[in-house]
Amino acid sequence: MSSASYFILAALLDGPRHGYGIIKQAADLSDGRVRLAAGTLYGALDRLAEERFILADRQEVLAGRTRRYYRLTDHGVRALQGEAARMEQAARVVTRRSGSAVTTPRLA
Amino acid sequence: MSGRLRRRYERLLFTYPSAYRRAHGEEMIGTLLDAAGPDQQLPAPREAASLLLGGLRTRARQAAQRSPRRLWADGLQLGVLLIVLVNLGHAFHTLSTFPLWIALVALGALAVLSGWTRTALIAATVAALAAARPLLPPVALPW
Repeated sequence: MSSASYFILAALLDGPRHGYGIIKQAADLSDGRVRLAAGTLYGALDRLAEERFILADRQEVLAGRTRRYYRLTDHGVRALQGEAARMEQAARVVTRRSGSAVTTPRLA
Repeated sequence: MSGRLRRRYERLLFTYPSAYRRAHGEEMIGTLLDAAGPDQQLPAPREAASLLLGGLRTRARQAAQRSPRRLWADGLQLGVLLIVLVNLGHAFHTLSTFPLWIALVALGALAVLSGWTRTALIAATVAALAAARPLLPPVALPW
């Protein structure tokens, strides 16, 4: 799962959001590392919908702007939790050993 | 709110297939305008780049999902279009001598591009006859 897809799904964990809502939340959750451009966002949303991780929810038009909300499916929640567990395990491989890391002195 | 920015983003969305634009265009514009600054007039470069890339990716993805028959048909159309365009380029040498012929070749190119098979065939046939006219006996053609 790409980092964009991961943070898009994570942005939907606490309820449906529209496009810009997802962009802001993904940026917040990643400390500003994930800055989604619209083309990237909608490409990822298409793929996530194809895999049935998300569903298009309601749509509203405010001041001439259309906003469609997306929400996580149960399948999407499970996929996200699976990915989080996998990353946690992968991180542990390094973090539990970092105290005893053997470094090679650099030769000048 | 800037109508100009909206129009510019709408133009960038033309890289997406038309059916996709109809389904998602308005919400994408909504998101792009939400993400834009209050006085912004020009599309942000990174948004523009992501739309161009996203449009091409969407087209590629849809092409990959098509049946082999459709792929062959698209390939054939592209090939014929290239031939017609090369032909049109050649034809411009003779603009003053054969304006009718060039108009027909141009119509043919437009027809091939738009997928109007019948118009393309008629234009190509008449253009071929018009080009061959000096070689034919003078009585063979009505014009």
